[in-house]
Amino acid sequence: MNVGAAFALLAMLLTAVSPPGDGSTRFEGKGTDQNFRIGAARAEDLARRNVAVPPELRLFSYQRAPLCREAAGMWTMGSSDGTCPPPADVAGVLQDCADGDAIVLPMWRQARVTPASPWGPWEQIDAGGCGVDLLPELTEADFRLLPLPAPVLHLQPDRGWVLVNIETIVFTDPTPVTLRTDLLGYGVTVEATPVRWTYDFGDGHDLTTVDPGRPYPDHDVFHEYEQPGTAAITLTAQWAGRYQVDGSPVWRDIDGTALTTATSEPFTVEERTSRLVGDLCTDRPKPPDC
Amino acid sequence: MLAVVLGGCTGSAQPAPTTPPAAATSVAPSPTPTPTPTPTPSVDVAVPPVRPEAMATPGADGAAAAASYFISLYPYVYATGDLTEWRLLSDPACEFCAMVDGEVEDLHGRGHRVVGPFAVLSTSGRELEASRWYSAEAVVDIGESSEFDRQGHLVKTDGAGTYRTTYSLTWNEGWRVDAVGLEPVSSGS
Repeated sequence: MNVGAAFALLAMLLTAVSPPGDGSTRFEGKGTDQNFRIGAARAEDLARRNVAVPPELRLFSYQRAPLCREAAGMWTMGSSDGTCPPPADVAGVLQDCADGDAIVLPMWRQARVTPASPWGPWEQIDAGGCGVDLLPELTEADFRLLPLPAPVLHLQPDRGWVLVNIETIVFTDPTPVTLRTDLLGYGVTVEATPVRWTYDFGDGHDLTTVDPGRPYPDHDVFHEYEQPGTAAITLTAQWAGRYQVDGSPVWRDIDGTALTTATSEPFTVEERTSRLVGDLCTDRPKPPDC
Repeated sequence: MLAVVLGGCTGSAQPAPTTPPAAATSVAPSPTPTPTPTPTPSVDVAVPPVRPEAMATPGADGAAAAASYFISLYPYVYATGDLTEWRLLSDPACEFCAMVDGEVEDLHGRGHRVVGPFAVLSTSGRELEASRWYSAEAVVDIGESSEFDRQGHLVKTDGAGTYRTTYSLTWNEGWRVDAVGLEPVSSGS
């Protein structure tokens, strides 16, 4: 290796090695608030289920209250009204919550071995969080159980038969629907919006589109049948949704989609041949060559 | 000669590059000459940590043991790229677990590895709901770590720090880590 090559390698090494002790560790950038969210949601769920137990039989007691700092390293539970006894300060994890969403104080729990035993000391079991984290989550499975409407399926022409090689127009209604449901005792408003449609034209052809289509003459979703016969069109709508739990200002997106379908009446696909006739076919009595 | 020039150029740079990095893994499996006991339980990062017996049962102690074991896998996966145990314990939705998984896959896919001391200083666990939900925390010391490329050249050095790591765990015939939180512990406290 000549001197030049050695220096080139050295230069590479020097640029590649970042100086040590710049403060960043291998943990840097991997912190998320996921553990706060899960912790707060679980504590809330436990407290919610605990309320279902008659008070005299409860083995746990839950309460949200601030974490108060009395002195360096001295932390105590504050009052459930959100204050700390003077001269302690409110401390603990205060998070950035969405506009209008409440900050949730840490959850505390005390336990007793039997309903006759004395209560143990209060212990903090979560770090608190934002109101929205504590609300029950509407899952894809919940969404799919909702009575979403079948998509509206319009056909043009819509008279029991269509023509081969001529546009058969389809269109639907993209208007969102609002539904009310119930989740673990909470009232929930769900807004479902169809976002994608698949037409199965019944002749082996299908079409997937995010365009709801329009009626004639502005139509942009259509199909031309190639063979005479009988067909029915099935429209499958894919719905996306968001929901709002009563009492919370926050709308959350539903992680997942749902499908509904509608099928047209069967119709015939006809072939017509034009030919010249002697008179108007609208004449009465109808001319024999019509 | 390289080392001499490096030291001269960067001044404060650690003498780390002089150590042939290959030694870190090649030496590890061989019977090491009785490691001198150190005050902190520092671990040989190329040897998989042993599952603590306490992990076998649900409970606050089991949760603490599971969290401690899980985070002990951290230096091991970076050094070896062996994510088997890490994945066995990670819930698919665990964000921290997935970030580590992705970074380790990427590093080892390029033939890199990261070695550095790591020690669990203390752990505690709490039962939230029997045989279901647990939380745990572990205070860990992450030492200065070095990333080496395929040729064994040092390409990056990361700093040291102490962290309070917090865990949400679920027991379901075994432990699952649902989420990990990281809070740097300031040197004063």
